[in-house]
Order: sequence, then C-alpha cells, then structure tokens
Amino acid sequence: MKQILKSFLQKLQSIFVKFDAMLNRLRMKIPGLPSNKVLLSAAGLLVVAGVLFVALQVLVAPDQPVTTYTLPYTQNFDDVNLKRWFSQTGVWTIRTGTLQQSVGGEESGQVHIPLKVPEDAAYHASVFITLKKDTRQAGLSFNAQYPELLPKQHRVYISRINPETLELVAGYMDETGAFITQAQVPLTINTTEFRLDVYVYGNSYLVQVNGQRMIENRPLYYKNGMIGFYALGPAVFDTYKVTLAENQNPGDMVYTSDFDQEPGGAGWVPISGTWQIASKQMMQSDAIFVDAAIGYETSTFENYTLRATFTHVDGQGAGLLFNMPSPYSINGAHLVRYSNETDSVIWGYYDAQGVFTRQGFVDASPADKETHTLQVFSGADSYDVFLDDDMIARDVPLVSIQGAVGLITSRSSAAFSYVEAFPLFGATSDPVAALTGTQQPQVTNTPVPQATQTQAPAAEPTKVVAATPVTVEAVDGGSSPYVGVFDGKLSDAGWRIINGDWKFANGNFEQVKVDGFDYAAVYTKTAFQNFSIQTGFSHVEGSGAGILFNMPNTDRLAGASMVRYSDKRDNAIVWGYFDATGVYKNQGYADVPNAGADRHTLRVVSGEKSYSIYLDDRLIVQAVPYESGYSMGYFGLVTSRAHVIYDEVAVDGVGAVFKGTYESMDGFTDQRIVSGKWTIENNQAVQTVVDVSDYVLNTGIQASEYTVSAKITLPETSDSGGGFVIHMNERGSKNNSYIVRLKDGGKGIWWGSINDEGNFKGQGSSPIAGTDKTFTLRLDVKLDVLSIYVNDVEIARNIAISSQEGWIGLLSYGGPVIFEDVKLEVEK
Amino acid sequence: MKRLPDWVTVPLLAFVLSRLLIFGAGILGDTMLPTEEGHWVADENSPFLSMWAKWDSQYYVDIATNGYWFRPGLQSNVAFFPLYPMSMQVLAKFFDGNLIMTGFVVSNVTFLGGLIFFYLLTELELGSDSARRAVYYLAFFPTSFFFSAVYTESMFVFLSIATMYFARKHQWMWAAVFGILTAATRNLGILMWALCIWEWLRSQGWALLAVHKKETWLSLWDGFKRNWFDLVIISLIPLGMLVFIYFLKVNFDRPLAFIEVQSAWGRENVGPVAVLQKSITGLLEGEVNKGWLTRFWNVSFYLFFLALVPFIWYRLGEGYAIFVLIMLFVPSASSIGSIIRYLLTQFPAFMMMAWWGRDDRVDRAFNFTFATLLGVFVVVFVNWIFVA
Repeated sequence: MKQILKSFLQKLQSIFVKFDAMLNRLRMKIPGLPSNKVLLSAAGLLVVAGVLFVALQVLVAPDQPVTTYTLPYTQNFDDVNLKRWFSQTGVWTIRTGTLQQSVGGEESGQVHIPLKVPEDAAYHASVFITLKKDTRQAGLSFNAQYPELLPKQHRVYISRINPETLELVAGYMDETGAFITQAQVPLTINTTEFRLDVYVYGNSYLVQVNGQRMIENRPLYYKNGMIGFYALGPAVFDTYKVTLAENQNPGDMVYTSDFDQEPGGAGWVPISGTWQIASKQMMQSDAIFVDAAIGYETSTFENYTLRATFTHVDGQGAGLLFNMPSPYSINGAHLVRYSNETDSVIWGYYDAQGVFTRQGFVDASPADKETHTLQVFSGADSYDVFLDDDMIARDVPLVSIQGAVGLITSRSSAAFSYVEAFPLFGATSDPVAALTGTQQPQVTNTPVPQATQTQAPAAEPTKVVAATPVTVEAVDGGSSPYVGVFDGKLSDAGWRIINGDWKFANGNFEQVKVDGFDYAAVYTKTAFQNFSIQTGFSHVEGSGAGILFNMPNTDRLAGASMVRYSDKRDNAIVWGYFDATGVYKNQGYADVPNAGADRHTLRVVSGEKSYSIYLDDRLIVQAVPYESGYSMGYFGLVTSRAHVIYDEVAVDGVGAVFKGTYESMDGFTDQRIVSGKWTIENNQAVQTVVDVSDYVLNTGIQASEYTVSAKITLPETSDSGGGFVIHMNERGSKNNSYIVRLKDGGKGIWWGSINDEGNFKGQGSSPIAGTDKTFTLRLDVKLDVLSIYVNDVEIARNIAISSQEGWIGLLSYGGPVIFEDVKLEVEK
Repeated sequence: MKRLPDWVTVPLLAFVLSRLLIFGAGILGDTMLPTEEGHWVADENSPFLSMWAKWDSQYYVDIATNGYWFRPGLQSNVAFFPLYPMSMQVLAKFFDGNLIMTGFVVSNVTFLGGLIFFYLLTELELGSDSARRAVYYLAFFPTSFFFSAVYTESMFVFLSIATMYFARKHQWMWAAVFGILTAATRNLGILMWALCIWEWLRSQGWALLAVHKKETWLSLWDGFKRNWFDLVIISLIPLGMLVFIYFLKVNFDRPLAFIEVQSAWGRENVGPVAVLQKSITGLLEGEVNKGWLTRFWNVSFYLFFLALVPFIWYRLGEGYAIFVLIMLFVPSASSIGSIIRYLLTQFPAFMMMAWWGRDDRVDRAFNFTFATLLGVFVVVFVNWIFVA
C-alpha cells in the first residue's frame, strides 16, 4: 500500500514538474503571467468546481429536468414519475395507462408537466378526457408561467353545470388570482368522453372538442409556458400530445356531400354494389353484396375528420372507408362499419390484397332503421372512432395515413344522407395533392390529382349570338382520324376563328392575344363522335390553353364542352360546357403541376355518355357526363388570357390511346380491382372470393375495336364462372357494361348486358362440352359487334351489343378463378 | 510509546465522551419514553440509527436516493445544498447501500475532523488551554447531537473551520478548497469567502478600525501589488455555491430555487428584530408548553450569542464578529425556530466562551449547563419532539 501511494505521489509530482516547465516556457512569451503556484492553484480550484458540477449532474440531477418539449411529444401515461411533475393541488395518480385526479370537494387539482413549449412556437395540444360521475370540471391549463404555474396560466375546461348540461369554458388567471372567462360555449355532445384540442398561435388560441371548433381566436395573455391538467372533481386523462401547429389558418370544411342536390353525388365512383342517389340520399340497394363500396375520387385527405349519417334500409353493415389509396378500390383502405354478423361496430383495414384485418370492435345496439352517425378522426398516426357522438375507439394505429374516403355496406342496404370531411385543425387545410400517385400496392394506380370543391373561375362568356346550329353528320373518331397540319391558310386547313388572334407559324397553330377569355378556333370540316382528341401545346405567356369539343356550332361556343388550363393559375385544369346562351358552366377542376412554359398534351376521350380528360397521359377525371346535352360535334382549340402555341392536334377513336397489344398482366399499368379479391403475380390474375357473385378486375384499357383472350381455370364448384366484362361505361363499376362469361362450373357460357341499375339481361348462351375446368376464351369486339370463341371454337358471331366502346375487365363468378395468358390487342 | 499530540487527543477524547453521553441518553430516551406513532422510521433494522435521522434528514436521504426535485410552492428538496447528500450517496457503497448508516458515519467522522481543526484554530488564536475548552464546549453544546445526526452541521463545521484555519495560516489554496466545499454544503457557506477576504486584508495590515488612516490603505495597496494572486484564489470560493446555482438553472431553469422554496416552509422575511420581538412577546404572553420551551431555549441562546459579538470583536477581531452576526441574523430574519441548531456553526462564539472559561467557575458552569441540556435535548430529539 505504501509503495502504491508512493508511486502515485511520484507520478503526480512528475506531472506537476511537466506543467511547471510548460508554464515557465509560456512565461517567457508572456512575462506578466502569475507564478506557477498561482496558476496551478487556480486551475486546481477550477477543476474542483468542475468535478463538483459533474458529480451533481451524475449523482443528484433529476431524471426529468425542466427543459423544453421535443416536439412532437406524446404521453400515454404508461411510465411516469409523477413526483417529478409539478403537482400543486389535487391527488394525481397513474392508473391503467391514464392520469387520474381522484379528489372531490371544492378545491381543484392541477398538475403540470415540467416541460416548456418552445418560445414563440405555434403548437397544438390534445388530450382525451373522461368525465366521471362527480366530475365538475376537467381540462387543460396552458401557457402556465413557470414557476408561478397556478396564478399565471390560461385554462380551458369542460364544465358540468348539471347532470345534463355541459359547457366549454376558456379563460386565464389575472393578477388578482381570479379566473377571467374569455369564452363559454354550451356543449351539446351527449357523451362523457372527449377529445380536447387547443391550438395556440402567436397571440390567440382556438379550442376544439371532439373535432369541432368551439372557441376561436381568443387573445393570449401569457406567452408559451407549461401545459398541465386541470380537474375539479375526479377525472381521467389519456393520450396527451403536443405538436407544432404549422397551419396558422385552420381550413374550413373541405367536403360536404351534395346528395340532396340535382344532380347529386358528384365525385362519387361506385366500386361495387348498386349505388345511386335516391330521395336525396346516396343509397346502396344491393343487400346481398359483401363490402359494397363507393369512393369519392375528387379529393384525398390527411389529418381530417370524416363523418357520415346514414340509415339502414335492409340488414346492418353500413360504414365508412377512409385513407383509401385509391378511390376505386377498397384495397389498402381503413374501414369502420356496423358488423353484418353481430350487434357491434368493427374497425380495421384492408391490406393490399384486399384481406381485411380487424383492429377492434365494440358491442353496439342494433342499428335497426334508425339514423346513426359514424365519425372518424384520422390523425398523424392514429384514428379515433365515434358512433352517434360516443367515442368507441381511441388512438387506433393507422396503416394508411392519407387517401380517399368512401362509403361501404356489407350484406345490407343503407341510405347515406350526409357525408362531410374537414381537417383536424393544425393540419393543412388543403387536400393532399395526389398527382404523384397515392399508394396502391399490387395494383398500379394512375395518379389522380385532387380536385377541390371550389368552383373554377367562370370563363367570361363570349359574345352571344342567335343560335343557328349546323347540322352535320358526325363520324366516329376511329373511322376518320384527323391529324392537324398547320401550314398554309387557316381556312384551307378547315379552321375557323371565332375570336382571338390565331395563325399558323412555323408548323404550329398559335394564338397570341392575352387580354381576353376563351379565344377559340374551330375545325369545321368534320364533326366527331366516340373519339379521342389530343393536343400538344406550350404556353408562351399566361395560362389557359385547352380544347373545345362536341360543339354543335362552328361559329360560337354555345353548347360546346371545354377543358383547358385555368387562366387564373397554371396549376389547375377546368372543364365544363357553355350553355345555350354561351355562358360557361363549370363541371369541375383539378390541381395539376404548373404548366409553366413546358410542352403539355391534353387529351379528351369522348364516349357515348361521358368523357374523360388526360393531361400528359395522366387521367385527370373520367366519366364526366355531357351536361351540355351534346355527345358529338365539332372540335376546336381555345385559349384564355394566354399566348399559346399548339404543335399537335389529332383525333382518333376512343381506344386510340390504348392502341397496341398487351400480353401480360404487367402491361395493364392502370388496372384496378373493382370488386372481389384479386392476386396478380407471375402473369396470373386470381380471384379468390368463393361466394358466388360477379367480381371484376378492370384492365385500365378502354377501346372500341380489339381482341381479348385468356386461359381461364375454374374451381371444382358447380356454379363458378369466369370471363370478360367489356364496354364498361365507368372504370369502377360493371353497371352499363356487357359481360361474356363461363357459367355452371364451365358447363356453359352466356352473354348479355348489365344496365345502369346493375341488372343483368341475358342475350344468349351456349353449352360447352367436356368436363375440363380450363378454357381459353376469346372475344373479338368491333364497336357494337361481338364474336365469342371458346377453346378456339366459335360460339357466337356478330352479337349486337348496345354500346360501342368502354373499359375492359376480367370477370370472375365465385372463386378461386385463375386467368392466365391474358392478351389484349387493341385496334382502336 | 510516543505520545499523540494534543490536537489529536483532546478532540478525540471530547468526541468520545460527548458521543457516549449522547448515544447513552439517546438509547435511554428512545427505550424508556414512548414515541408518537406515524413518524418516519429511517432504518427499520436499526432503532439506534433511526434515532439520528429525523426531520430534515428525510430530505438528505431523498436527495441521495432520488436526486433533486423542485415544485413551485412546495417544500422541495432544492432548499438543501448538495455536498452532504452527495457524500452519502457516494460512500453508501461502503455501507451496503445504507444511507442512514452512511450519513451517521459521515457526520461523526467529519465532526471529529471539525473538532481537530477547531482545536488547531483556537490554539492559533487563543492558546492551547482555550483550545481544549473550546473543543469540549462545542462537543457538549446542548444541540451537539446534531453533529452525529444525518444533518449537515458536522460537515459544515469541519469545512468552515478548516477554511478559516488555512486562511489564518495564509495557505490560501487550501483555504479556497475547503471554502468551495463549505459553500457547497450550506447556503451560508459563502460567508467563508468574506471571512477569507477579511483574513487576507488583515494579513496585509488592514484593520477596520484603522480605515481612516492613510497608512492602512497604503499598506493594503502594497500588499495587493505583491499578493493579488491570493485574492484570485480566494475569489474562487463562491464557486461552491455558483456550481449549485448553475445546476439548478440547468435542471430546473430556476437558479435561485433554493431561495424561492423557502416560502413553502412558511418563512417570511420580516427581519431579525421583528422576529425576536415576536418571539419574546410570545414568551411573555404564552403558557408553558412544548412550543414555549422550544422558543425559550432558542431565544435565550440567541440572545446569549448575540451578546458575545462585541467580545468576539474585541478579542478575536471584527471578521469573526461579523461572521457571527451574519450567521445569527440571516436565519433569524424569518424565524428563530431552529436557532439553537444554527449556533453550532458559529465557532468564534465557542472560542470566545473558551476564553472566558479561563475562570474555573465559568468553565464549570458552561460544562454543567451544556452537558445537562445536551442529555435532555437528546431524549427530546430522539422522540420526535422538535428541538431545532
């Protein structure tokens, strides 16, 4: 021991000697330096102080120092040392993952978390509160000024005036210690469970209860500070979150249903089942269907509330879809609905293959024929569910955090009277831009940019003249295609200027005037029907290039349909028509990438009943009805407050876009599941739902003249079938289509049409010999004529069908049905 | 066998004898008299150790166990300085994690160290006879059982006296080391900085009563030019408190939290005069009960120590006198309730008493009074009756 000590002291001495020498060298450079003894002593004392501080931090520092929140912050009350919190009054405990105040009486309880909100940061605090029988008040204190947390704070709380009456109160403590009420709002929500949200901005705050804005724009008297929980009487607090509130201006409601208007249901696309507007409600009338769904394709949403009011007509099983990767499929979507099997409400999600995973359920009284409201708060990473204002699920993890919304019924029929979606405040009020594509695993989805509900600025009407419509024969686009050549004189080329300054220049067609709306030039030589028209153009100045089509006149815009860039901003496309008096009526618009000075292609596919719009080969909107009343006519070019150069104009058949041969499922890049559960891999499409019903996979191809074939293998059941559905009017529904399919387990084949109510009307059938379960089915389609081949044997020839073009899909009846070697050759 | 020097034997004997009295009285009091139920039992396995952990001990144990915490408006443990509980925490590993045992050992060991330095300092100031008496007066003072309890008194006494001793020896480096540690033990430890400055001034020929003389300042200036670096060293003493203040700032954003929480104990700064006046009035008008007796002893000893101040000034110098005054006035600005414990740290007063004890009658009076009261107070203390 002595040796060790001696050796240690010797080492210490040698260190001091080295330091001494170093300091002596330094003193030679800095003559005024104090003596080594002084310097070393001072250094030694500083070391002592340093060691003392380190020891303090290591040994006795609190495990939760008073610091600033790291946002986002979530407190689930699972592992909290309440001793570290500033609990001034009341008795606070942690029980079963909740924070509880358990003392009654006249004195309120408060506890504050020892964290401060960053100075000058706009933030959002939320907490779930459960009122107990004896709860008199419960809520949050915020902007509490540490350390004077109680006397200097804002406070918002739910107050129970009497057993039936609740109100929301907000205010602050003044310098005399009195609580000053800034707002007092009755709460009509009949529940004991609440979500309280407080949004604090620079100098004001707003309060939401259960997603509804109750108090807004109240001035702040205290700057950012601490947040705490407040209760007078026992109360339970759960899942407390603080995030930055990035949006200084919480948006208004984003979507409200128009089911009570004529026509109603704009933007809603049936996925399966029978959906229609009836009695001012969106009704699904097929009570046999499992998961009959409809999607809203116009917008996608993130961080929002979705609410629907509905009544069951038959059975029980209505509900909501939300965060749908595609409005045309339930795959990947979240679901909340009444169970069709038990008296309960279930929630969960569909995976990419359409397999449903239930995340939870709650027993509920039978829905019967009463009106109910289902509501979902879809947040950043979780969602809450309310049934008739009662919270039935809280903080359920989200698998898909944003997407489209929809309605669903399962083995029931229901009427939805009202649907609305609006943002959770603090989130962006704009619907999520989806032009780059929302997620849809397995099935590639053509991205659909969101369309807002705001009316596009109406184009100023052109000069109204007496209508003298030109009556011409319209030709099918496919039979008489047109390619514009911009040389020579406009009139020789068949173009007529209605207004504006149009000219051929450098092989292009140019409009140079920027000071007016809807300058138009019309191609007068041919009127078209069932066509697609494509233009290529660039903006030189302004924004407003577009297409006129189905024009009944060549000298005016009255009756014409139009689609063009908005002249107000270059990141929106508008579409609509001019009425008989030449006044523009907007049918919709969508946000798109900025046009800038880049070249773009705009294409309209005009079918019998509706038209679709593509921008740069991306589908903007489909199945827009002809509100103008004209489904054929002349076409033209239009600009509005823009200088535009058109370098391409071409008209062809409806299927011209899709012309070509598709020999694998991978080739159908825009395929989508309409109904059923489809697995697509190894160039095979398999529909797996065994229940006997029609299940459709849309190839995403629409055409009017083509051959489609596939090797179809049916299961051993005696009632299964498989085939094709053609000439579908809508991509997401088999209504208004024509089907050809094997039936009775392959013992026969039949064909016929499905009307717009979804009812099948058979046109013909034929038995098939043999007991094999694998068949090759081929259809030759030329406009409204169809021929059918099974195993290369002609079954029927030149069948007349009612429509001439449309989407093409695979059809399964029951399952599992396997489609292999799918081949589609599109002429037009 | 070589005889141990007096600065070892005298303090050691005083320590042993006083502790025997205290422990004996404690055991007697704890065994023979009933204790009120519901009090904190510091060590379930050792009633003996539990005797020496009362009242404020809980805070030191809490700090050593859970670290510091601060709740505005509540009696938070940030009111207590860190060195003592940190020592408990660090040394507890040698005692199987038993904080009460550790605190007990730390208190007693540092008390012995304090007695040794007190002997040396007093010998320096007044000679060895006075040093011997001073040590005994301190060891047998009526509240000297606090030196064995889980309290900071012993550590503070040890560090503060050591600081002063080294300052008197003009070993400024060591004075500063002990001064920093003193300042980290209790809030009034910062006074050692002032005491060291005063000693430095004195060492340069400066005296308060001679401030009107030019030579005083000239001498001081010369001394400053030669020895300014010693002032630099001394000026680092407040680091002990500043480190704690910085720690409070970092962890609670309240650098002066230890002051802010005083109000949670009902302490209202009204000034020592008002407090004394109120206490005396209470004595005159109140009836004799536990509270009255506590107040009586506190007021009596307070006035006695106050009366010592001019004598200390005369005999030992203004520095010591001002030190005692401040140590009296600061705690009594809000309450006189624990004065009889705070007096333990006012070592110049014990030095003064020791000087008076040259007279045998005075010496015997002090010894008898102190020892008797010590025995009584121990019995009271171990039964959870508030002494100080």
